[in-house]
Amino acid sequence: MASGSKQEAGKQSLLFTPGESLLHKANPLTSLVIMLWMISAAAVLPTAGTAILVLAAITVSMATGVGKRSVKRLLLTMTPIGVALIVVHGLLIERPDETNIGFIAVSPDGLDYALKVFMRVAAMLMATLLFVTTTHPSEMLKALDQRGVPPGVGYLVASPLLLIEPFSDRAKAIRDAQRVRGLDLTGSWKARITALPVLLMPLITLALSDLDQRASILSGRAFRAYPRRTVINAPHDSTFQVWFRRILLAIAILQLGIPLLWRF
Amino acid sequence: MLSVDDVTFSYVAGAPVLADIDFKVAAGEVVAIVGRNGAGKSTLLRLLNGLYQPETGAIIVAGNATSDTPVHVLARSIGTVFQAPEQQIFNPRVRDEIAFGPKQLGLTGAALEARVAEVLERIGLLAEADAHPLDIDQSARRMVAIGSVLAMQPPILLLDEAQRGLDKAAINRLSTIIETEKARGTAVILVCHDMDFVARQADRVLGLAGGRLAADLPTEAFFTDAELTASIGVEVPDVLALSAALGLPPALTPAAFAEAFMAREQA
Repeated sequence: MASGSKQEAGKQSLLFTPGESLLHKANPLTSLVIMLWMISAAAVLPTAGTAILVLAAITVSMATGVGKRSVKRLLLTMTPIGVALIVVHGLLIERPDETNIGFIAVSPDGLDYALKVFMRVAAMLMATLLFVTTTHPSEMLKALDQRGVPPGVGYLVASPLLLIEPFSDRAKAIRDAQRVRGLDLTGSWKARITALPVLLMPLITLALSDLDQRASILSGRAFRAYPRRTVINAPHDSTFQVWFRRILLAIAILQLGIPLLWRF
Repeated sequence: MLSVDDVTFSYVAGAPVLADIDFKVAAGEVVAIVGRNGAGKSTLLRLLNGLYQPETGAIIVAGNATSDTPVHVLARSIGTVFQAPEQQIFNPRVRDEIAFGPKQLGLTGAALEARVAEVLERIGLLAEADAHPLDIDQSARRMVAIGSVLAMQPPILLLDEAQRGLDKAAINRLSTIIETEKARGTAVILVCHDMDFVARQADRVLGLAGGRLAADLPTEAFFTDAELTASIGVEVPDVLALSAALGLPPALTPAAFAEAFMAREQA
């Protein structure tokens, strides 16, 4: 049995998960600024700080109901990165502090560095996941329009996220269409790799033909006729959120700027 | 050939989109599945070809239970033409696209070439055999999708709105293909919104309403039950409405209508 409704199945392909949490209700620009602040913090904090940031982000994601999906994505992405970092920095790159464990030369400094990079990437990824799982791209687009961002720029920012869902649905449809023509996607790795072009060719061809069609449709609907658009159902915003964003943005800039100034 | 036994299916536990579905399709039979949008037609189709698994009940396709048989193995017994042909096309030539399915089944060499040539002839695209499938018109592209499944010679053929987007000549060709498949003993299942097409092609109609099988009747009996067709939400075929308006016996095809009309005129 398949789980979830068709609609839910569609939404699962998109990272956004509906909810009623504070982050879901926040103006998309507030969520965006929180993400930017977390990324800037991850760039400057020491390893212990980024570890706390990751834990905090996981806790928030659990509290907002997007924890399971976020953590799953985090693990799927970070596991190969972690392995690669350990192998490259802990084992392959020669450092003066190498110690032998059995027949393997391990560098504690290299492992420290690997952990530092790992935690930074994990914190940045978790910040992004928290944003995309709680903010629907269409709401983001409306929020940008509301702030007077030119429609073309807004579309450029939000369209990759908006396209994830139809792209993912189409990928599933292509996979199904080829499976019912006898394509075996359950066999060996070799068979699966051989099947890749069969799945990717229609996906890429259709995506490319879509680009032209989408551009024509947007032009046909006078998408850029006016430099600013009126939003009928703009996402909720408040003076508190506006000031919160300003302060957080200032902190983010300072976080990045002060260490840079200190170095020079 | 195909047996659907008391099948229930849900996307969300406790909210079945299909319930108590029970029917059989014999070899050489053409059966249409009709109903409103969202009635569960496409879901049922995906259950038949094994893409979805029933929550309860069983579906047996040419002796194989869909629950125990991988989709690519079931493809030998049940061929599916989906609504959007572009979603399966990936080869640079029409003939390669037609050859893909039989190749998956292990056909090679002269036998494969002969199979492809036969199908190209049947779908009327011999002259376009070396064209890129995306360079030919939409109607021909859909015929490529139909041909790519015909080339696998499945004993059961599922056509999901296969007639949609076809020009008149291609619809006539599709009708001929269905008739030939029926004569060969293939069980053909149509998911269709075009009731004129259903009336012309189908021996039997399965009407889905609210996720349940509301009707399983011979085509004429189905369309002449006005209350039933209204409850399922399908229109009566034009030719049948015309014959009713003229007080003629029910006619499902223009030929049957003409015969009934002429008989009355000569009487």
